[in-house]
Amino acid sequence: MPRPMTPGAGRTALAPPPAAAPRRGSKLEIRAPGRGGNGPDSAYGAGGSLPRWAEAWTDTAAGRVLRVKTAPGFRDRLDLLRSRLVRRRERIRVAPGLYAVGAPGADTPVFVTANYKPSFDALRFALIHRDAWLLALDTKGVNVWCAAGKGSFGDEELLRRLRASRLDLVAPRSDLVLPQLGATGVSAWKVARATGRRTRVGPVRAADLGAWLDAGFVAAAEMRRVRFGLGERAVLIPREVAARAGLFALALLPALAFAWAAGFGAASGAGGAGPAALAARALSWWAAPAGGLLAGLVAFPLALPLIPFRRFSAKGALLGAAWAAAWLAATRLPPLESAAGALASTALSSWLALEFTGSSTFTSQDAVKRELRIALPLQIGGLTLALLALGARLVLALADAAGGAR
Amino acid sequence: MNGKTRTFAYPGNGRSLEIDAALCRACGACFEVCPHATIAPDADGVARVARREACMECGACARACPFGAIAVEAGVGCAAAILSGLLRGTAPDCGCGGSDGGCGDGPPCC
Ligand code: SF4
Ligand code: SF4
Repeated sequence: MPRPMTPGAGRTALAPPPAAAPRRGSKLEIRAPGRGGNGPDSAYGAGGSLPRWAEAWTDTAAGRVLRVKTAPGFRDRLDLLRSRLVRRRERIRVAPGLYAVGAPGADTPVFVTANYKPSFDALRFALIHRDAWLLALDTKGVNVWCAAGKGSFGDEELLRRLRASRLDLVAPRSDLVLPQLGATGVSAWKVARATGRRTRVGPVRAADLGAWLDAGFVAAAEMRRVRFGLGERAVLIPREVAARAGLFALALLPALAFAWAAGFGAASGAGGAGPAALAARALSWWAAPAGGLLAGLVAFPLALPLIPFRRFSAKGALLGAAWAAAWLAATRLPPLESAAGALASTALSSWLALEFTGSSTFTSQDAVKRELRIALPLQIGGLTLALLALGARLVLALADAAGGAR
Repeated sequence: MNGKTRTFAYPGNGRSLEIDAALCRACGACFEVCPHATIAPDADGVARVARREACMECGACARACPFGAIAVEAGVGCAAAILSGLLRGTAPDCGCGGSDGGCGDGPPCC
């Protein structure tokens, strides 16, 4: 580390952490205590049952800390699975503070992470057969990269947590290993200056930690790169689909309206349409928006690098339009229904693809803003036209009905 | 260009990234933290923008530089966050940590 030259604003005036009474939750594994969680053992109660992922209490110069397990248990796997399905995954967390892996000593490195349990878990599993300290920052259950972007994984919280865990007593000579993706929030040189400790930047993925340590804290170029391969993209899909279930249901409304209108048309012409025919008609229209949603939520993440165009909204629109073409060929509905379905499929897929910029790992805010400015009006325009087509169809049906009644 | 080391670039990325070569002391901290290998050293070890379109403007390099040689307008590149910011008249906020989903796991997102 070179001698820092730039003044580090606000690096010292840190308020002491609030002294919070430990709150006991029924499920200690996932429930963090109040905002404190300071002392090594304030969070998980004294003498109470251990969290399932801990082996034992271990004594340090500043009190007891939990020694964590380094092999995944059933609950850990379940937590990981849950984190990929549920919207509120920030509830899957551990208490912030200091933990031990193996039998760490006064100069064993301290690995800093977030208190999002899957992040914490990946770190402890990567440190199997090693001695280490783990310091979980209070990121409110948000993973390292997201939290660093928001600032909750930041210099201030790190210094506060170091002080709260009394690391100067526990491990006075330890280096701090900072996760690379935390660099958006934590400035290694400022932390080094404020603590007098050496800081090192660990690899992007916890799984590479072993190799990084064995190489003497040297990262191969590949370890410093964020990947976004098929696997990384695929795991994002279930949560996205689950989060959008409401849209699939919402699309049933216009589908039923179209079917209803078609029923009127049929009633005024060749005989009435039964409920089964109505349902079939509704479903055949619903396939258009539903397919558009799936194109944006499933096909787009999977095929991302293969789809022509570079902008996400254009890629998404292409997928939605492709589905619309197939749907048009298969259903052959009357013009207004066809137009509405095709527009809805294309616009929905385009929007969901653009929204995927939030899950992707390489889009900058300014670039997304620029794209949004062009794409959003088109997407809104497409959906508006689809609604107008529906409105026109309903008016025609009512006119038909009035004509038939006369 | 295989799946692992594939370079993802995005049109319009990295416009605000600037490195002041005169301030750079070739310490290497910025190359170390950049998740997209956007910055590479020249023959003297001085930081240079090597692949601007790979830069997601996350700001890690600027924060890592002890000599203030890098400037970048950092923010989350997430359409939903930008939109909700526009609607509420606030800065883009992805709200992951709040009730909103949409953000990726491990690496991804905000
Ligand atoms: S802003 Fe982020 S992506 Fe861009 S060069 Fe800096 S560290 Fe790399
Ligand atoms: S961190 Fe700053 S001083 Fe060090 S190489 Fe990068 S630009 Fe140069």
